[in-house]
This record gives sequence, C-alpha cells and structure tokens, in this order.
Amino acid sequence: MKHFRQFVVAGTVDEAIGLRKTVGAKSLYIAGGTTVVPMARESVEVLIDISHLGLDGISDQDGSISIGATTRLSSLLSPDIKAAVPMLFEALSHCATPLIRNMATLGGSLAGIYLPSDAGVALLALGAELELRGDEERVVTVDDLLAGGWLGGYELIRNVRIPKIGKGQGWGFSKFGRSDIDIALVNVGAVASVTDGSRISELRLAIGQSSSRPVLLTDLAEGTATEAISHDVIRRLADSASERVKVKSDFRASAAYRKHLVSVLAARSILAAAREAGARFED
Amino acid sequence: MPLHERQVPDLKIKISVNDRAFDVEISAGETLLDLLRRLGFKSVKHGCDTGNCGACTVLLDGRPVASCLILAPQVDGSTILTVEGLAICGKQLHPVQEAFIETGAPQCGFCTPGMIMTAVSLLSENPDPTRDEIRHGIAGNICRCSGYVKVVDAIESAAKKLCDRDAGHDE
Repeated sequence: MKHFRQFVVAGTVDEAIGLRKTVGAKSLYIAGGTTVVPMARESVEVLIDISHLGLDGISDQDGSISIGATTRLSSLLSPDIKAAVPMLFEALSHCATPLIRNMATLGGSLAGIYLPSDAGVALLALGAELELRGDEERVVTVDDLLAGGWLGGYELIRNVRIPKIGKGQGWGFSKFGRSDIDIALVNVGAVASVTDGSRISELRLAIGQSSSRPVLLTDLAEGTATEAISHDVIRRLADSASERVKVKSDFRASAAYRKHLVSVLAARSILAAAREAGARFED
Repeated sequence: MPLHERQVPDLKIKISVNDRAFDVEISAGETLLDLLRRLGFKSVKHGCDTGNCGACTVLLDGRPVASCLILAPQVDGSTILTVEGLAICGKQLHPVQEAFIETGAPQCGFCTPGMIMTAVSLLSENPDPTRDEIRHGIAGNICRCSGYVKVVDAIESAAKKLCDRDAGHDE
C-alpha cells in the first residue's frame, strides 16, 4: 500500500495542467508509474494520470521522428525505431528490465533526467527537442533544458522530436554498469560528422552519470578538425572529454573510476560514430 | 467546485483476472500486487516492492510487468493473468510449468511464479529463443538461490514442447 490519497484520470491536457496547478506540490503526473510509485515523496497525495490523453504514438516525419511522451519504452524497441533512430534503440535495449520497459514511458524517463536515464543521454547527443505544455507551449532542446533548470512546476512533456542522423553522420552509444541492465556507472553517446571520410568535423558527446546531471560537449572536435582520423586522435578526444567533465563518488563507483570510464567509453562511442559516418582509417 | 475538491472518481474498478471478472473497490494507494493478493492470488509474491526482483510479475494485457510498481487505479478495464490461470482448463499444467518441474528449475520457489509468467510471454513473442535471448528475457526476474542455469534449461525445453504441441495441432 502506498501513501497516495487521490488518483484522478485526466481527460484532456488542459484538465491535467489545471489540476496540477490547483493542487500544487502535493500532486504529480503519473503515466507508467515506474518512478512515481516507488519513489514519490510522502508529501505527494494526488496523482494525475496522463496516460489517456492520446500522447502516445510514433510518427515518421521528414528528417525527424516524433514520439509521444506516454509511449512505452517497450513499444520503441521496434524494427521501425531501430531503422530510424538506431541510437535510441541501442540505449533502450540495455535500459532497465523488460518488466520495467513494459510500463515506463519515454516522457517519464526524461522528466527525471537527473535520474540515470540511458534514453536521456542518447537524446541529448542526438539534439532531441521536447514539446512542452504549461501555461503556453514551448519547444526546447534537451541541452537547453539542462542548462536552464529543467521543467517548470506543472509543465508537461507532450512530444519528443528526434532529428534523424544525416548523411556523413554516425552515432555510437556505450554504457558500463555492474550488469547489462543495471543503472549505468557512466554512459556516453556520440554523434560525429565526418568530412571526406578522413576528418571528424563535428562531434556531439553526451556523458551521463559522471556527475549530478548529464553533460553535452559540442566543441571537442575543434582542436582536431584538420587532423586525419586515427586511433590517436580518438584517444586524445576521449581524454580531453574525461578531463573536462566533473565526476562524482557514490556507492556505485569512485570519482577516479568514473573518470577512467568516461575516457574509455568516450573513445568507444567516438570510434563507433566515426566508423558509422564512413571514416576510413587503419586499425 | 475547484478541481481538487471534487469527488475522487469512484475508486471502483473492473478487471479480469485469469478469465474471472472482478468489480472491486480499491484505494488510491493500493498496488496491483496488494490487490491481487487481497483477491486471493497468492502466487504473486511480495518481494522488493521497488520493481527490481520480479517476484510479483503478472501479465497485464499480455505483457509481463512488476505488479508492485503499478497502482490498482491504473489497471481499470485490464486483463491480468497470474500463474494460477495458466493451467489449461484449470487441470493440465502449461508446458512452461511442466518444463520447470521436469528440469528441477524451482529451488525455494519464491521467484518461480514470476519467472514462469515472464517465460510464457517471452516464448509467445520469440518461440525459439537462444540461451542468450532467454537470459536477457528474464533479466528482470531475480533468483536468490542463484539457480539460473536450470531456469534457462527449463525455458529452452518449454520452447521445444510448445513448438511440438503447435506442430501437432497443424497435422
């Protein structure tokens, strides 16, 4: 038995937001419930169910994929998503267990991005945008939200828009945990653009679980943009990422161990992304 | 009336458990696990209460879920299957149950109902899984006797039984 006193099924987005606004801090939105049910504070009395608002579903648009916030993670492990957003597919394949993925939603795993979310790190690297509804609608990138203090009190994620990887671009995602399905000690997503099959001209590197919130580095490749790709270049990029991110110590891993992991996983992700983008170089 | 003062939509839900219809009163904080045990389905075990162990696994509209992470009001109108409802006509054990017995997969037995429900779902989606796919499939069900080898053996054997049974139907 949990401590919640009221459970209200919202019929419309406006109703859900209105209710959350009226009740305030004593309320929370609930969709899959896999975070809210075990982790909500004792002070939360009212749950507002947003899973019947038609906010689920996937649509393939020109150049991007749009995923409704209450789409379940297991629905995203489909051949269509594997083809359209392979990095998200890869991240979700090793994210939690099948039992959790059958209930957890994409919006829910982003609403708690300070929590360990493999999907969040992949979407940060991909430059995904969130369509939010509060008093008004706004569209923000995941990295803007991270910089700006995250969601407002009663804001709701409606939709996640993910740009498809373009020509000459590639992706890589690596996670390290105690076991395949465990919360990551560190996870790293990379999206690289390769020019002439020989130089990394752009690199977006998202690093999760190293500190309290995920970090996005976008200027790493500036120093090596004129150099031909080699294992040495990738090693230097990864080391420089590891030097720049803050690392935390907790019961899962020490800061020194995390620093080491960031360097190893960044190198793996950048290598995979560069290869995927068509980079040719000697092993 | 302000929204927060209005009456809670009556906390009565309709669910089907193992093909039996239930019209039950619930409270907002009752988990599906609490509810199923209250209704007498004691195969659904109360383990970690945090979704980590899988002892409370049931099939919700055909998909395995951790019933400790779901509130009863979330499942209004749903169909639930627990291990009590697996036997064919209530008599003949399901091939996955048979395989668990023949292989000696249960040790203390606490994780077994959840393990079996996950296996049933896994085999309906992937009738011929590799051992690796089986291990990934049951990743959410923990056996603290640590007897995973025989569980994987049992699911492999159940896959063969189901395949033979279906082939028999085709003849």
